[in-house]
Amino acid sequence: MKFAYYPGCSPQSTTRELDVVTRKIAKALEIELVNLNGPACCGSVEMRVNDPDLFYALNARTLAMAERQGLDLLTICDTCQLVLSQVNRSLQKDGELLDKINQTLSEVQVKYSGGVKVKHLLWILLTDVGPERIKRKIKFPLTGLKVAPFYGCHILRPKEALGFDDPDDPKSLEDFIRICGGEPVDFPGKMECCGFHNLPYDPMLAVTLTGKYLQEASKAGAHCMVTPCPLCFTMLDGYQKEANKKIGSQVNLPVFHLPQLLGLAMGMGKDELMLKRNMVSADEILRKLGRV
Amino acid sequence: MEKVTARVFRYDPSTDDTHRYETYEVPFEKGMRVLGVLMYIQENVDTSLAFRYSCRRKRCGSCGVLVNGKPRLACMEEAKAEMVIEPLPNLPIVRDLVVETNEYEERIESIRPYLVRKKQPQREPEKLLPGNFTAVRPLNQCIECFSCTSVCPVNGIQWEGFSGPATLIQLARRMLDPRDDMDRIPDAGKAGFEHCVSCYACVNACPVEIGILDEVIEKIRKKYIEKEASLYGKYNRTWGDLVVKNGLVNPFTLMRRVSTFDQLLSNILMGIKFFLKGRISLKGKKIPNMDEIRTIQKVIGEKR
Amino acid sequence: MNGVTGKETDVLVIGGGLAGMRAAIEAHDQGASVLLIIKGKLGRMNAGICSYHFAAVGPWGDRDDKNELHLEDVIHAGGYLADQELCKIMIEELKDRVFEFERYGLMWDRKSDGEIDPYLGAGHSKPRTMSTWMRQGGLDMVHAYRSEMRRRKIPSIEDVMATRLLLKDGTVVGVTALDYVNGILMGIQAKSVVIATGSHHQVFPVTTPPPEGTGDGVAMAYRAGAELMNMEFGVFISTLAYPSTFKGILVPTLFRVGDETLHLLNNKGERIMQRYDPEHLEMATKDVIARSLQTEIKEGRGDGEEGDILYADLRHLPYEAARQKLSEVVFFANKAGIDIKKELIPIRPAVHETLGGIRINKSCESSLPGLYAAGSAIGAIYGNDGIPGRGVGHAVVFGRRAGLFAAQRARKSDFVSIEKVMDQWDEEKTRVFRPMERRGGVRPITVLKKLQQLVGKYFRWAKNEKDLTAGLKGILRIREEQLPQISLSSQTKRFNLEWVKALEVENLIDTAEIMFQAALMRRETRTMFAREDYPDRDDKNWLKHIVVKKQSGRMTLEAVPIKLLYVKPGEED
Repeated sequence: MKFAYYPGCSPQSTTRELDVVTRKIAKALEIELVNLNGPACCGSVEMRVNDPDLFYALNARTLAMAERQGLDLLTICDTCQLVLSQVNRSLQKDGELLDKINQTLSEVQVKYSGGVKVKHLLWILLTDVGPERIKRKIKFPLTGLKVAPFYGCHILRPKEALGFDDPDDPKSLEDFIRICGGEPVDFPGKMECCGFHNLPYDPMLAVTLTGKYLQEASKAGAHCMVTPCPLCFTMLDGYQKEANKKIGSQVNLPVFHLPQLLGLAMGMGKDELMLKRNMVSADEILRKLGRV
Repeated sequence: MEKVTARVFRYDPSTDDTHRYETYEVPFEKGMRVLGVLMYIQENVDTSLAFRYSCRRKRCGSCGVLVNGKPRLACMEEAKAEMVIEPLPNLPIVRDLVVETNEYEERIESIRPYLVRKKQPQREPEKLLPGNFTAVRPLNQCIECFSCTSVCPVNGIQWEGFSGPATLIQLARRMLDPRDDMDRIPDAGKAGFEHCVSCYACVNACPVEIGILDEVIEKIRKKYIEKEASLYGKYNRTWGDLVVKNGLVNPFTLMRRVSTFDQLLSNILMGIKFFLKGRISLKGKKIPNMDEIRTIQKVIGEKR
Repeated sequence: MNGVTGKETDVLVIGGGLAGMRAAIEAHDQGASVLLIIKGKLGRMNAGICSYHFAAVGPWGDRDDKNELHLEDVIHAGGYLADQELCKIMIEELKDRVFEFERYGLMWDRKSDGEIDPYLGAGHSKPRTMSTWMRQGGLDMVHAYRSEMRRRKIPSIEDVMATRLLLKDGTVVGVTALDYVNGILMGIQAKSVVIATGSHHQVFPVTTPPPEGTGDGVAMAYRAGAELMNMEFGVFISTLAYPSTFKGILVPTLFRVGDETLHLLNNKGERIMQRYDPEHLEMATKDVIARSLQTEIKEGRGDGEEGDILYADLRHLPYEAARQKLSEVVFFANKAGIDIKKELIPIRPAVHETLGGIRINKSCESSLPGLYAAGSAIGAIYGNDGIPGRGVGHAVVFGRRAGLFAAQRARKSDFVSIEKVMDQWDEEKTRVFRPMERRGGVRPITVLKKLQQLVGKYFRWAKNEKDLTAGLKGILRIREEQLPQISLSSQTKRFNLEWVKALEVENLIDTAEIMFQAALMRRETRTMFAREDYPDRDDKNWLKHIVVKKQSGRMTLEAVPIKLLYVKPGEED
């Protein structure tokens, strides 16, 4: 199994552990991640308004890189997944737009024909790899561990662009938790928005939203949280203390990246999973699992 | 399916201390809607049940309720085997499923939801080219049902100054109408559109399928960046600058450039903690083939 | 909304649909203080929201078109029962309304060159019918008016049901109204009152317009002694049979999809119109269709518990074209789980509108000074059936005129204090609170269903003396035996919809009785009005309006000859 690998910006800076651990579990599961030669930032929520032509061109360039290798694209960030899915869909449906973008890209000898699928690691694990193959690699199922799933809004909505899970009743992340041997904990904010995109100019809003969901998950009895998005991770883990301060809560909920949780179940340790980098220490979880 | 079970929220503020849920069993009819369930209960089981409806076909926008936790139009939503039916959230309850939407309607009224034009048409009927109205057409379908505002997480925490998607749709509907010549951006600012977190919850909930993010929020953002020297504008432009400079966006660099001095100062402790955990790249990576990006940018610039 | 017990305004508008809002806007623009009260929410609860067409002669379509031709079409379609003078006024004012709507932010459908794109509506002789962009029709019109209400900040109170007109020396000086959020009876002093409360179609069991149409204004006006007109008329049509909440989605005939139309089938799968009108089939006029459907049902070729379910067949139509032309039917059939490519759509006959109401003069004034009326609450001045655009035209033209004349009158009048009419106030308070105070008894919904069953059974498209007499007797019995027994399952004063229903039922009993009496009187068959026992058209005796009025406590009916001022029935009619 081979995929073109698109890490996005955050795993190459703030959440470097996500990149490292993704590669590790990919190796363990015999998924080959093919590095692309310098794909650009997906442009997130901002570029499409700031400079739509450049936005389409850069993302088409990324898709073309994967297409040239004859591979589908693997993402590890919710927003990257959404943006690339939306661009891909637009280019596949609108022939005129595709031509226009290809005209621009021809200047750098790049062309995209619309033949790539964009898939998040979570989806690939559940469908391309499949629960059986994953379970075979799990040495230490996370029995007794109550894990709150935080999807991150952009892996669920809008459903036309993404089309994997039902945004009103998602199950994928919870299925994933079960495959790892853990017990998913339901809470109202599991599919809500952490507000990360507003952080640089509207920090209190993002912190308040984050705090609300952390509190809900904690109240629902979760021991920890897992998220498939490094941006949500940055809020939930990095700003957990700020969130407590803002809304007056006292939540202490360690947060894991998607591959970290799987790695834990596969038998990887604290150092391998780079858990030292968490702002909210995961030591208690390791102790609970007898993995110290 | 022979029967459906509906657990319905009941509350009379004039007599009850608190709300309760009543469970009803209703015979199922092919194609049944939640409205049909409510009407059956009101006609045959409990004539005191209060709920709103009128047109029965997603035009009047008055039958909004929560069905299994999601805001839906009762007249359109399919009846399921088991349903929990509750009033829309965050609004004062009049009785049972009837809420007072005045708060939301006043927000709409505050952004002047009517055509403002200083220059009158040269002749009537005016020549109106359909092509000029493509942006505003989808917004015309809004029935002000407030499903979007009910599901919006920012509205959900009652964030001060944020009016919610419904208000912004009504604003954009005039802003994008070629006949309207009032500058609607100050009102957009007052309506708190900057607090939209782009989570698409509103898009997912809209019963008439308005692409609120694409058709409303992004259109306002575009005008906002062009006009206002605001924090949001600065943030958006900085993102673009970083992409064009390095191909990637380094969060630290972004924060550093966008935050005001005060903000940076107040975040210093946090910054240090992040740094100690290795989460801050002071400089940020650059992709290897920036010349490609620059070429692409140049080509696009020439085309314009 | 607060529990105020007294309000004062120059012009009081009762009803917040197209007619009511337009009246309020006009009265405001004339400088009067305006208050609009509505039994529901403004800009939402009204029949106009689901309407579709607007028709007017103007600088579009066929340049040879003239108001005179439009007038002819309207009067002909209405069986020559139009009030020709008022009809002419309406026709002439429609063009300005087209321009005005766009000033209010609406967009009429345009061709690619930017000009208005009218089409040929069924029954029109020229293409002068238009809809708004994306064919939303009434929704856009209601939104346009609501924007203008908002611009002018015209005061309106929602969830208030007007219950009685207050009179001093035969002049209307105000109303009593139930604020049913708080359960308080309000008294509103007004120099002019405009009734724009819509029609009373809820006397029928299966109707297309929304549930608020309980004839409140018509009943109030009648009880106060105002003249009513055209009460015997209603428009019969067909609608989806299930699910129950989709009863109300119109299934239109008279729509071509390419060269074809949908087919109407009975329970044997036979094409119904082959039997009754093999030449026009489903493009026959609405009255022929209504007759055909009713006969099929009567002769036992319908399905369902009550034998009144027939079928619409769209299987032979090209799917995309059907979806475009018959978009509502296809959309809702899909929602109901019906695959129109393979299955038949069960339909039932329904009532689209009742055409009776308050009789007005050129100034939209009723026979009671101070009382004006607009919209579907008026006895339809175009006759007993209409062509596309008439309902909306009626509402917007007379809405404006009612507002105009109501404001003019207010300028010259003084307030009369409620204290001068306390006896009426006390009487009304007792009546309104009676259902609240009674215990045991029968629920309003039970009485309503009984009434509707009765009307549905005895007031079909084709009526006869036996049925009408039986129906009338039944209605009177309901009034005598059931109405006084109405009580509520909850005595809460907070948003008690059942209480509102109790008051609505009384209004429906009154309007139903008048409907039956007027229908008994008209002994002929003409377009939408049919009598099995008098199957021919009788211009000699019945080119008249039946005017109903309460005099000395009793109902009187008078047949008033129609003045054929502009258009006379032709040889071919």
